[in-house]
Amino acid sequence: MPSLNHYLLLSLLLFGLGVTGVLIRRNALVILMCVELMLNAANLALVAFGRAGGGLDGQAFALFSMTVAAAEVAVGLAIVVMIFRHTGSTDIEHIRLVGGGAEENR
Amino acid sequence: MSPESIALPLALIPLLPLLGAVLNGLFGRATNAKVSGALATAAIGGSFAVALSLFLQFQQLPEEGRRLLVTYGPWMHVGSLSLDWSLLLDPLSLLYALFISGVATLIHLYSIGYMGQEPSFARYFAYLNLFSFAMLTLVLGGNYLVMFLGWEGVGLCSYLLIGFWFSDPEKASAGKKAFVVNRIGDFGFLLGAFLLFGHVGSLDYGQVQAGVAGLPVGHWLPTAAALLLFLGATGKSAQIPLYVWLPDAMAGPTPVSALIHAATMVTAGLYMIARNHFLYSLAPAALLTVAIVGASTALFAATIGLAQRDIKKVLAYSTVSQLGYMFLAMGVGAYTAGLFHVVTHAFFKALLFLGAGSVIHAMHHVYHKVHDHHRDPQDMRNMGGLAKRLPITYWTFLVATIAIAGFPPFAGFFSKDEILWQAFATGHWPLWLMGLCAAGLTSFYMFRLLFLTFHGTYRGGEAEAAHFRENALVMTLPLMLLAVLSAIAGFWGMPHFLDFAHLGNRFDEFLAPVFHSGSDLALRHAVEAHGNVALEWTLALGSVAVATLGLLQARRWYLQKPELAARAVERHPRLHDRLLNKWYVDELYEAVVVKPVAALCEACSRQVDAGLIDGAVNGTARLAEVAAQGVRRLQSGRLPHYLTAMALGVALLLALVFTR
Amino acid sequence: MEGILFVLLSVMALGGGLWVLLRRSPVDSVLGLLTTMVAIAGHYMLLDAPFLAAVQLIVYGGAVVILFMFVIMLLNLREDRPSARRLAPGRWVYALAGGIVLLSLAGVFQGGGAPGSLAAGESGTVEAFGEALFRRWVYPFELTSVLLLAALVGAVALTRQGQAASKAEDKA
Repeated sequence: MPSLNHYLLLSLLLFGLGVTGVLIRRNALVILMCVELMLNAANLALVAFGRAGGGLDGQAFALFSMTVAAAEVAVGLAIVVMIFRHTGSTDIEHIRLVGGGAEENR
Repeated sequence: MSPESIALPLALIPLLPLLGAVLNGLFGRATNAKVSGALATAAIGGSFAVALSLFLQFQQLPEEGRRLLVTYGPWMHVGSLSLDWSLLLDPLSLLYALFISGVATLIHLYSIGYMGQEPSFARYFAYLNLFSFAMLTLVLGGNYLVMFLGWEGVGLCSYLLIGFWFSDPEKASAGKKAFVVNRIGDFGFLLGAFLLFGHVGSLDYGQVQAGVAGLPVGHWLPTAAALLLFLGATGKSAQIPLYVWLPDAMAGPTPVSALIHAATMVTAGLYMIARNHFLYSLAPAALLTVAIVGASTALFAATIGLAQRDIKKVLAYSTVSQLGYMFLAMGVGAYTAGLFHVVTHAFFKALLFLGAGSVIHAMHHVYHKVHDHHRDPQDMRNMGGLAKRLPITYWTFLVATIAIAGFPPFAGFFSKDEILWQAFATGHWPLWLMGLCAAGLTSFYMFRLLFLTFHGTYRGGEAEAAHFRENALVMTLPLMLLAVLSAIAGFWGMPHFLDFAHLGNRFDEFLAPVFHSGSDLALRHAVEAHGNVALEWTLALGSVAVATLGLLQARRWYLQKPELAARAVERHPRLHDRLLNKWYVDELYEAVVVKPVAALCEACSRQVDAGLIDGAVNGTARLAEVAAQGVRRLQSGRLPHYLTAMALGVALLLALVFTR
Repeated sequence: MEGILFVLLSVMALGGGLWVLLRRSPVDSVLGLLTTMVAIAGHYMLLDAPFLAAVQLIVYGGAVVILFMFVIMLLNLREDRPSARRLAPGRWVYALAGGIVLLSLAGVFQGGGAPGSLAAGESGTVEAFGEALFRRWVYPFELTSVLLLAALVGAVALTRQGQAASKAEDKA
């Protein structure tokens, strides 16, 4: 019988995978996918906590979270498409829309 | 006569010329030279009148009562330091006040004529009055601090007056040199004063004298203080090593040279030593130093005077040399003899300078008439034969020359001879010998000056010579008065062995109360008690003989056979070069002192000021800049950086949350 | 029984996650994502949240994943080049950052050490959910509709702008 801690551990691992993905991958789309992973991990934790004695609040919270996630994906993808049109690539290394850091301003 | 009764008149002595200075400074420009000069002369003349009246009253007092200290009010009361404004009237300060104000009055009068065409006359007379105020404050002060006020004041006025024509950079430079060199001496003075204050806790003359009385002879404190104060004296009174400013100071107007550099300011050092005689009596090492420096300077400066061509430069080196005599006297304990020479020297040296001024003034006039602005009116090689053209100037100048050369019965003989006798009698034979040689040289170069300037034929040609006019009474009257004084002042201080008329040594007697503890009087009595009159006669005749030799040699070389002088120069070119160029002392100082100090200043300016301080300030700015550059890298525009930053930030927050 | 299901579903979820992370082709990553979504839905069922499980499948599996697919095809993305897959070597500080986050989250275990038992709480049936949504959570509910509207408009507006710009470029 899985306990709360088990669920939390799972959530934790999923979240960690998401974070790592965000930091490692260069494709903007894959990064967004990893963000979704993180969100799901959080939702899982929410529902688990709710199940552990919080009525339906945890699930309601998770529902709203999903809603927001969906909206965010829509807008985020639209932005990725825009950037692709502008720069011809989804590689985040090639996005330099903000002016320089150390390399440019000498 | 009590401190209360003389409080006002005593204060008037320095304050009258101060008032004159203020009035001339503020309003003088609106008047003309005559009015401005008359005001200044009246101010200092008033001082002299007051001093004279005090002197007459002073004679009524018994000997023990001849020391009146007047306190005018507090100056500084800080902690254990307690200083008041006070003036002291005793024989020494009264003597100085008298001859200072007297000679100064004559010189102010003379200036009305000499500076009549000067556009900045108001400034001149203001400065001259200001100087008189400072000098009188110096000699009348009742404690070291009031004296120092006057000490610094005369230094300042000296600078202002030497560099009077400051638009000429050379003259301005001379003023600066005087001030800077004096500053070194002043530093010594201050240190000496601090030393005394540290030991005694007061700067009042009487209290200091009482405070050091218990110390054993040769103790380090009076010795150190005496030497430090003497350093100040070498600056003010132009002795080795700080004499170098005085010849340069001839850049100022000639009456200034007469007043400041012959009769008054340069005598401040001697006043200081006389005032501190009790200190020097406790420090034989310091006294010996004073004597050696004095004798050396006397001889050294005399050698330089031999070769100079500028009439004022000869007189300048002569002044340095004569001051050396006075210090020699002080150094062997003959305080009153030194002071006697101070007074007689004031008369004949002022006369010499004023006479030179008269000559220069006449030369200027002639050059102006023939529209020549290139020839130097002060160069003796352009003069000659002026005795007939400027008779009053010549005869008064002659009197002064005889006086300074040390021929009896004029004043210089009595004072100089007394010094030489004292030097010999106290056992300082080498110093006596140096003084004797210097006397011979003095006679030589002074008569050289006289012959070159007034005898022979005028070297500018007969036509030019016709333009010469003797100067106005305003200028010649002071000359005549000073000539009389130079002639008869000697009789005020008759030495015993010559005292056929039994005049007594009034000078010594007048000053006796000041030097109660001095070795001076005791010594004199001891020596005279031995009745060594024969020795005195011998030495006196020796001095006169030496002076005569100088006169004759000068006559031969500059009157009878000028070609001999020229040949002597040819045969000793190196020696002549060294004499003419004042033994290259200035160049030595330049290399040894000025250049290193300038280099140090340059280094400080470059490394400390520009490098360190500016560097620190700029460095702070650069630090901000560098930090900003570094921090700016966070805004790289590169997404991976931003994502990482976010992740780390979240991690930090979580850590904080979970550890609370 | 539940334990076995839990383990299976967990493996599926984690496996999907790794798939997202490690595959070269974006399409593969999307499939991995889908796997994880389904697994999570299964977990919801285990946690007595049937409504949520359904919504999860519909929204995530049916909309989000499809959207991703659309965009990949729209942009005609190929496999990421090997060098493009990961950031420049030596930048594993990023991975380290991820690890640190993970460790931080482990703090969640500090609290009650005893494994909480999941008591039979309220069942997340549709009726119960509807009740909760329209009573207790009515305001957030309404606000999220506004949010969705904003997202909708924003997405369209963004892409419309871009189209207009590129059309202008084509004409010029």
